[in-house]
Amino acid sequence: MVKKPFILLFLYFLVLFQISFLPHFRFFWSFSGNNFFNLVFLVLLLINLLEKKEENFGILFAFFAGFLLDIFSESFIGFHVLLFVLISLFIKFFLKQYVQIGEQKIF
Amino acid sequence: MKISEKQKKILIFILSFSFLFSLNFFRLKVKNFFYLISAPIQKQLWKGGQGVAGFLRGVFEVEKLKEENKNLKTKNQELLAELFALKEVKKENEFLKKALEIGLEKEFILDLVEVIGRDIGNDLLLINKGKKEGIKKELPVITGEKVLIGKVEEVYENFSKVKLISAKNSFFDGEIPEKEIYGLVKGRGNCQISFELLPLEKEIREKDVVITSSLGGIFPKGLLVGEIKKIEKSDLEAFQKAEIQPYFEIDKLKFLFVIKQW
Repeated sequence: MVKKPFILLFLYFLVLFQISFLPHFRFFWSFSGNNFFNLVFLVLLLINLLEKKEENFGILFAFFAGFLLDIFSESFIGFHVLLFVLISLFIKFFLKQYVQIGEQKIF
Repeated sequence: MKISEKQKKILIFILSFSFLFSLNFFRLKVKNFFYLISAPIQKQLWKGGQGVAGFLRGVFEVEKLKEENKNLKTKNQELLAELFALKEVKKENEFLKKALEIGLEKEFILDLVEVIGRDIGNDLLLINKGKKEGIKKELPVITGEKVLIGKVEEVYENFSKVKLISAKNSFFDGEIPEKEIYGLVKGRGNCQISFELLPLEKEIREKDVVITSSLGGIFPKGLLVGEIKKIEKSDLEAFQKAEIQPYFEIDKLKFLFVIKQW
Protein backbone atom coordinates (compact mmCIF):
# COMPACT_ATOMS: atom_id res chain seq x y z
CA MET A 1 0.00 0.00 0.00
CA VAL A 2 2.88 2.32 0.84
CA LYS A 3 4.57 1.54 -2.40
CA LYS A 4 1.73 2.56 -4.69
CA PRO A 5 1.82 6.36 -4.12
CA PHE A 6 5.54 6.22 -4.77
CA ILE A 7 4.99 4.35 -8.02
CA LEU A 8 2.52 7.08 -9.07
CA LEU A 9 5.09 9.73 -8.18
CA PHE A 10 7.65 7.78 -10.17
CA LEU A 11 5.12 7.77 -13.03
CA TYR A 12 5.01 11.59 -12.97
CA PHE A 13 8.80 11.78 -13.33
CA LEU A 14 8.70 9.07 -15.95
CA VAL A 15 6.27 11.14 -18.04
CA LEU A 16 8.50 14.20 -17.68
CA PHE A 17 11.48 12.08 -18.65
CA GLN A 18 9.53 10.81 -21.66
CA ILE A 19 8.56 14.25 -22.91
CA SER A 20 11.67 16.27 -21.98
CA PHE A 21 14.64 13.91 -22.08
CA LEU A 22 13.88 11.17 -24.59
CA PRO A 23 12.91 13.36 -27.57
CA HIS A 24 16.60 14.20 -27.96
CA PHE A 25 17.33 10.55 -28.69
CA ARG A 26 14.97 10.37 -31.61
CA PHE A 27 17.88 9.63 -33.99
CA PHE A 28 18.51 6.48 -31.97
CA TRP A 29 15.19 4.74 -32.49
CA SER A 30 13.20 6.89 -34.84
CA PHE A 31 11.68 5.59 -38.01
CA SER A 32 10.65 8.12 -40.62
CA GLY A 33 11.14 10.81 -37.98
CA ASN A 34 8.42 9.47 -35.65
CA ASN A 35 9.15 8.86 -32.04
CA PHE A 36 7.56 5.47 -31.45
CA PHE A 37 9.45 4.53 -28.32
CA ASN A 38 7.09 5.16 -25.41
CA LEU A 39 8.67 4.40 -22.05
CA VAL A 40 5.42 5.06 -20.13
CA PHE A 41 3.58 2.55 -22.29
CA LEU A 42 6.35 0.00 -21.74
CA VAL A 43 6.10 0.37 -17.93
CA LEU A 44 2.32 0.14 -18.16
CA LEU A 45 2.60 -3.18 -20.01
CA LEU A 46 5.14 -4.52 -17.50
CA ILE A 47 3.03 -3.58 -14.47
CA ASN A 48 -0.09 -5.15 -15.95
CA LEU A 49 1.70 -8.29 -17.02
CA LEU A 50 3.62 -8.83 -13.79
CA GLU A 51 1.10 -7.96 -11.10
CA LYS A 52 -1.14 -10.56 -9.50
CA LYS A 53 -4.38 -11.42 -11.26
CA GLU A 54 -6.57 -10.25 -8.42
CA GLU A 55 -4.89 -6.82 -8.08
CA ASN A 56 -6.12 -3.81 -10.05
CA PHE A 57 -3.22 -1.40 -9.60
CA GLY A 58 -2.37 -1.77 -13.30
CA ILE A 59 -5.67 -0.11 -14.22
CA LEU A 60 -5.06 2.74 -11.78
CA PHE A 61 -1.57 3.16 -13.22
CA ALA A 62 -3.04 3.21 -16.75
CA PHE A 63 -5.51 5.89 -15.65
CA PHE A 64 -2.84 8.21 -14.22
CA ALA A 65 -0.31 7.48 -16.95
CA GLY A 66 -2.92 8.33 -19.60
CA PHE A 67 -3.97 11.44 -17.73
CA LEU A 68 -0.40 12.76 -17.45
CA LEU A 69 0.33 12.01 -21.11
CA ASP A 70 -2.89 13.84 -22.05
CA ILE A 71 -1.78 16.85 -20.02
CA PHE A 72 1.59 17.01 -21.75
CA SER A 73 0.36 16.20 -25.22
CA GLU A 74 -1.87 17.96 -27.69
CA SER A 75 -4.68 15.42 -27.48
CA PHE A 76 -7.85 16.08 -25.49
CA ILE A 77 -7.90 15.03 -21.83
CA GLY A 78 -9.10 11.45 -21.70
CA PHE A 79 -7.66 10.14 -24.95
CA HIS A 80 -4.64 8.34 -23.49
CA VAL A 81 -6.58 7.49 -20.35
CA LEU A 82 -9.21 5.63 -22.34
CA LEU A 83 -6.60 3.94 -24.51
CA PHE A 84 -4.39 2.82 -21.62
CA VAL A 85 -7.28 1.69 -19.41
CA LEU A 86 -8.70 -0.38 -22.26
CA ILE A 87 -5.28 -1.94 -22.89
CA SER A 88 -4.93 -2.74 -19.17
CA LEU A 89 -8.39 -4.29 -19.06
CA PHE A 90 -7.60 -6.35 -22.14
CA ILE A 91 -4.35 -7.63 -20.59
CA LYS A 92 -6.19 -8.49 -17.35
CA PHE A 93 -8.92 -10.27 -19.24
CA PHE A 94 -6.37 -12.10 -21.40
CA LEU A 95 -4.30 -13.23 -18.43
CA LYS A 96 -7.35 -14.34 -16.45
CA GLN A 97 -8.80 -16.28 -19.32
CA TYR A 98 -5.78 -17.93 -20.92
CA VAL A 99 -2.75 -17.86 -18.60
CA GLN A 100 -2.36 -20.06 -15.54
CA ILE A 101 0.93 -19.10 -13.97
CA GLY A 102 0.54 -21.45 -10.97
CA GLU A 103 0.58 -24.47 -13.25
CA GLN A 104 3.32 -23.01 -15.47
CA LYS A 105 1.03 -23.34 -18.43
CA ILE A 106 0.57 -20.64 -20.93
CA PHE A 107 -2.50 -20.89 -23.25
CA MET B 1 -31.11 -1.45 -2.83
CA LYS B 2 -27.73 -3.02 -2.45
CA ILE B 3 -25.03 -2.26 -5.03
CA SER B 4 -22.83 -5.18 -5.96
CA GLU B 5 -19.00 -4.92 -6.15
CA LYS B 6 -19.06 -5.12 -9.93
CA GLN B 7 -21.66 -2.36 -10.23
CA LYS B 8 -19.62 -0.25 -7.85
CA LYS B 9 -16.59 -0.60 -10.07
CA ILE B 10 -18.52 0.32 -13.20
CA LEU B 11 -19.97 3.36 -11.39
CA ILE B 12 -16.50 4.52 -10.33
CA PHE B 13 -15.29 3.97 -13.88
CA ILE B 14 -18.11 6.04 -15.40
CA LEU B 15 -17.79 8.82 -12.80
CA SER B 16 -14.02 9.01 -13.24
CA PHE B 17 -14.30 9.32 -17.01
CA SER B 18 -17.09 11.86 -16.75
CA PHE B 19 -14.91 13.95 -14.44
CA LEU B 20 -11.95 13.52 -16.75
CA PHE B 21 -13.79 14.52 -19.92
CA SER B 22 -15.35 17.49 -18.11
CA LEU B 23 -11.82 18.72 -17.44
CA ASN B 24 -11.61 19.46 -21.17
CA PHE B 25 -13.82 22.52 -20.54
CA PHE B 26 -11.00 23.94 -18.37
CA ARG B 27 -8.29 22.34 -20.44
CA LEU B 28 -6.09 25.43 -20.68
CA LYS B 29 -6.18 26.10 -16.95
CA VAL B 30 -5.56 22.44 -16.02
CA LYS B 31 -2.66 22.09 -18.40
CA ASN B 32 -1.19 25.42 -17.31
CA PHE B 33 -1.23 24.26 -13.69
CA PHE B 34 0.71 21.08 -14.50
CA TYR B 35 3.14 22.93 -16.76
CA LEU B 36 3.79 25.43 -13.98
CA ILE B 37 4.75 22.82 -11.42
CA SER B 38 6.72 20.71 -13.90
CA ALA B 39 8.65 23.45 -15.67
CA PRO B 40 11.80 23.45 -13.44
CA ILE B 41 12.21 19.67 -13.70
CA GLN B 42 11.43 19.69 -17.42
CA LYS B 43 14.05 22.39 -17.99
CA GLN B 44 16.75 20.32 -16.31
CA LEU B 45 15.72 17.15 -18.12
CA TRP B 46 15.69 18.97 -21.45
CA LYS B 47 19.23 20.31 -20.86
CA GLY B 48 20.46 16.89 -19.75
CA GLY B 49 18.88 15.23 -22.77
CA GLN B 50 20.55 17.68 -25.08
CA GLY B 51 23.97 17.04 -23.57
CA VAL B 52 23.76 13.26 -23.47
CA ALA B 53 22.20 13.01 -26.92
CA GLY B 54 24.86 15.31 -28.37
CA PHE B 55 27.59 13.12 -26.94
CA LEU B 56 25.96 9.86 -28.10
CA ARG B 57 25.24 11.28 -31.52
CA GLY B 58 28.96 12.02 -31.86
CA VAL B 59 29.86 8.48 -30.79
CA PHE B 60 27.33 6.80 -33.08
CA GLU B 61 28.11 9.01 -36.04
CA VAL B 62 31.90 8.64 -35.89
CA GLU B 63 31.92 6.30 -38.89
CA LYS B 64 29.69 8.63 -40.85
CA LEU B 65 31.92 11.58 -39.94
CA LYS B 66 35.02 9.62 -40.94
CA GLU B 67 33.48 8.87 -44.33
CA GLU B 68 32.41 12.50 -44.72
CA ASN B 69 35.88 13.67 -43.74
CA LYS B 70 37.47 11.33 -46.27
CA ASN B 71 35.18 12.59 -49.03
CA LEU B 72 35.88 16.20 -48.11
CA LYS B 73 39.64 15.57 -48.16
CA THR B 74 39.39 14.03 -51.63
CA LYS B 75 37.26 16.92 -52.80
CA ASN B 76 39.70 19.39 -51.29
CA GLN B 77 42.62 17.77 -53.11
CA GLU B 78 40.69 17.86 -56.37
CA LEU B 79 39.92 21.54 -55.87
CA LEU B 80 43.53 22.29 -54.95
CA ALA B 81 44.72 20.57 -58.12
CA GLU B 82 42.18 22.59 -60.11
CA LEU B 83 43.30 25.76 -58.38
CA PHE B 84 46.95 25.13 -59.22
CA ALA B 85 46.04 24.37 -62.83
CA LEU B 86 44.12 27.66 -63.01
CA LYS B 87 47.02 29.53 -61.44
CA GLU B 88 49.33 28.09 -64.08
CA VAL B 89 46.96 29.20 -66.83
CA LYS B 90 46.79 32.64 -65.24
CA LYS B 91 50.59 32.93 -65.16
CA GLU B 92 50.79 31.81 -68.76
CA ASN B 93 48.16 34.40 -69.73
CA GLU B 94 49.99 37.17 -67.90
CA PHE B 95 53.21 36.20 -69.64
CA LEU B 96 51.55 36.23 -73.06
CA LYS B 97 49.84 39.53 -72.29
CA LYS B 98 53.20 41.14 -71.44
CA ALA B 99 54.69 39.81 -74.67
CA LEU B 100 51.76 41.20 -76.65
CA GLU B 101 52.18 44.60 -75.00
CA ILE B 102 55.79 44.74 -76.21
CA GLY B 103 54.69 43.62 -79.66
CA LEU B 104 57.00 40.60 -79.81
CA GLU B 105 54.58 38.73 -82.04
CA LYS B 106 54.96 41.39 -84.75
CA GLU B 107 58.76 41.11 -84.82
CA PHE B 108 59.22 37.36 -84.53
CA ILE B 109 57.49 34.04 -84.98
CA LEU B 110 57.42 32.74 -81.44
CA ASP B 111 56.66 29.49 -79.65
CA LEU B 112 55.72 29.59 -75.97
CA VAL B 113 57.65 27.07 -73.87
CA GLU B 114 57.76 26.20 -70.21
CA VAL B 115 60.90 25.62 -68.19
CA ILE B 116 60.73 22.17 -66.61
CA GLY B 117 64.28 21.71 -65.40
CA ARG B 118 67.44 23.57 -64.55
CA ASP B 119 71.10 22.73 -64.50
CA ILE B 120 72.48 25.89 -62.98
CA GLY B 121 76.02 24.48 -62.67
CA ASN B 122 76.21 24.03 -66.44
CA ASP B 123 73.99 27.01 -67.27
CA LEU B 124 71.39 24.85 -68.98
CA LEU B 125 67.59 24.81 -68.98
CA LEU B 126 65.21 22.08 -70.01
CA ILE B 127 62.08 23.22 -71.86
CA ASN B 128 58.90 21.30 -72.61
CA LYS B 129 58.98 21.44 -76.41
CA GLY B 130 61.15 19.62 -78.90
CA LYS B 131 61.38 18.30 -82.44
CA LYS B 132 57.66 17.50 -82.57
CA GLU B 133 56.79 21.16 -82.03
CA GLY B 134 59.30 22.36 -84.61
CA ILE B 135 62.08 23.42 -82.26
CA LYS B 136 65.49 23.41 -83.94
CA LYS B 137 69.06 23.72 -82.75
CA GLU B 138 70.54 27.22 -82.40
CA LEU B 139 67.16 28.98 -82.14
CA PRO B 140 67.25 31.95 -79.73
CA VAL B 141 65.27 31.81 -76.49
CA ILE B 142 63.94 34.98 -74.86
CA THR B 143 61.62 36.09 -72.07
CA GLY B 144 58.38 37.98 -72.57
CA GLU B 145 60.29 41.21 -71.86
CA LYS B 146 62.59 40.60 -74.84
CA VAL B 147 65.49 39.58 -72.60
CA LEU B 148 67.86 37.10 -74.23
CA ILE B 149 68.21 33.87 -72.31
CA GLY B 150 70.26 31.69 -74.60
CA LYS B 151 69.90 29.36 -77.54
CA VAL B 152 68.65 25.84 -78.11
CA GLU B 153 71.61 23.53 -77.59
CA GLU B 154 70.07 20.11 -78.03
CA VAL B 155 66.69 19.00 -79.39
CA TYR B 156 64.88 15.84 -78.28
CA GLU B 157 61.57 14.50 -79.49
CA ASN B 158 59.47 16.34 -76.89
CA PHE B 159 62.02 18.40 -75.00
CA SER B 160 64.94 20.70 -75.66
CA LYS B 161 67.99 21.92 -73.79
CA VAL B 162 68.71 25.63 -73.78
CA LYS B 163 72.23 26.89 -73.24
CA LEU B 164 72.19 30.15 -71.31
CA ILE B 165 74.20 33.11 -72.53
CA SER B 166 76.15 32.79 -69.29
CA ALA B 167 77.44 29.30 -70.22
CA LYS B 168 81.24 29.09 -70.48
CA ASN B 169 81.52 28.45 -74.20
CA SER B 170 78.82 30.91 -75.20
CA PHE B 171 79.71 34.09 -77.04
CA PHE B 172 78.06 36.51 -79.43
CA ASP B 173 78.24 40.12 -80.53
CA GLY B 174 76.73 42.79 -78.37
CA GLU B 175 76.49 46.55 -78.29
CA ILE B 176 75.77 49.50 -76.10
CA PRO B 177 73.32 51.22 -78.46
CA GLU B 178 73.51 54.74 -77.01
CA LYS B 179 77.29 54.92 -77.47
CA GLU B 180 77.68 52.63 -80.45
CA ILE B 181 80.19 50.48 -78.62
CA TYR B 182 80.49 46.98 -80.00
CA GLY B 183 82.06 44.03 -78.24
CA LEU B 184 81.91 40.33 -77.54
CA VAL B 185 79.50 39.06 -74.94
CA LYS B 186 81.03 35.98 -73.34
CA GLY B 187 79.65 33.57 -70.81
CA ARG B 188 81.77 32.88 -67.73
CA GLY B 189 79.66 30.17 -66.19
CA ASN B 190 77.58 30.30 -63.00
CA CYS B 191 75.26 32.93 -64.47
CA GLN B 192 78.05 35.42 -65.03
CA ILE B 193 78.58 37.31 -68.31
CA SER B 194 81.35 39.58 -69.46
CA PHE B 195 81.52 42.12 -72.24
CA GLU B 196 84.95 41.93 -73.88
CA LEU B 197 87.02 43.39 -76.70
CA LEU B 198 85.76 46.88 -76.00
CA PRO B 199 87.92 49.68 -77.45
CA LEU B 200 89.96 51.47 -74.76
CA GLU B 201 89.06 54.93 -75.98
CA LYS B 202 85.33 54.39 -75.53
CA GLU B 203 83.85 55.50 -72.25
CA ILE B 204 81.69 52.90 -70.64
CA ARG B 205 79.66 53.49 -67.51
CA GLU B 206 77.89 51.31 -65.05
CA LYS B 207 74.18 50.73 -65.80
CA ASP B 208 74.79 51.03 -69.55
CA VAL B 209 72.42 48.70 -71.33
CA VAL B 210 73.87 45.95 -73.49
CA ILE B 211 71.83 44.48 -76.35
CA THR B 212 72.52 42.00 -79.11
CA SER B 213 73.92 43.36 -82.33
CA SER B 214 73.34 42.04 -85.82
CA LEU B 215 77.01 41.53 -86.55
CA GLY B 216 77.37 37.91 -85.56
CA GLY B 217 74.06 36.80 -86.97
CA ILE B 218 73.56 34.34 -84.13
CA PHE B 219 70.78 36.33 -82.48
CA PRO B 220 68.34 38.93 -83.81
CA LYS B 221 69.37 42.53 -83.20
CA GLY B 222 68.01 44.43 -80.24
CA LEU B 223 67.49 41.67 -77.65
CA LEU B 224 68.25 42.80 -74.11
CA VAL B 225 71.31 41.18 -72.55
CA GLY B 226 71.93 43.07 -69.33
CA GLU B 227 73.52 46.16 -67.89
CA ILE B 228 77.14 47.01 -67.12
CA LYS B 229 77.96 46.12 -63.56
CA LYS B 230 81.74 46.56 -63.26
CA ILE B 231 84.35 47.92 -65.68
CA GLU B 232 87.87 46.45 -65.88
CA LYS B 233 90.27 48.78 -67.62
CA SER B 234 94.05 48.36 -67.83
CA ASP B 235 96.68 50.25 -69.82
CA LEU B 236 98.56 47.01 -70.27
CA GLU B 237 95.77 45.51 -72.31
CA ALA B 238 94.63 46.50 -75.76
CA PHE B 239 90.93 46.31 -74.86
CA GLN B 240 88.83 47.01 -71.86
CA LYS B 241 86.20 44.65 -70.56
CA ALA B 242 83.17 44.84 -68.32
CA GLU B 243 81.03 42.57 -66.22
CA ILE B 244 77.37 42.38 -67.25
CA GLN B 245 74.52 41.91 -64.82
CA PRO B 246 72.01 39.76 -66.78
CA TYR B 247 68.40 40.94 -66.88
CA PHE B 248 67.03 37.50 -66.09
CA GLU B 249 67.03 35.60 -62.83
CA ILE B 250 67.35 31.94 -63.51
CA ASP B 251 65.23 30.93 -60.50
CA LYS B 252 62.30 33.02 -61.68
CA LEU B 253 62.18 31.74 -65.24
CA LYS B 254 58.94 29.88 -65.90
CA PHE B 255 57.68 30.67 -69.39
CA LEU B 256 59.91 31.57 -72.31
CA PHE B 257 59.65 32.10 -76.04
CA VAL B 258 61.66 30.31 -78.68
CA ILE B 259 62.14 32.61 -81.69
CA LYS B 260 61.46 30.39 -84.67
CA GLN B 261 61.92 33.06 -87.29
CA TRP B 262 63.04 36.67 -87.39
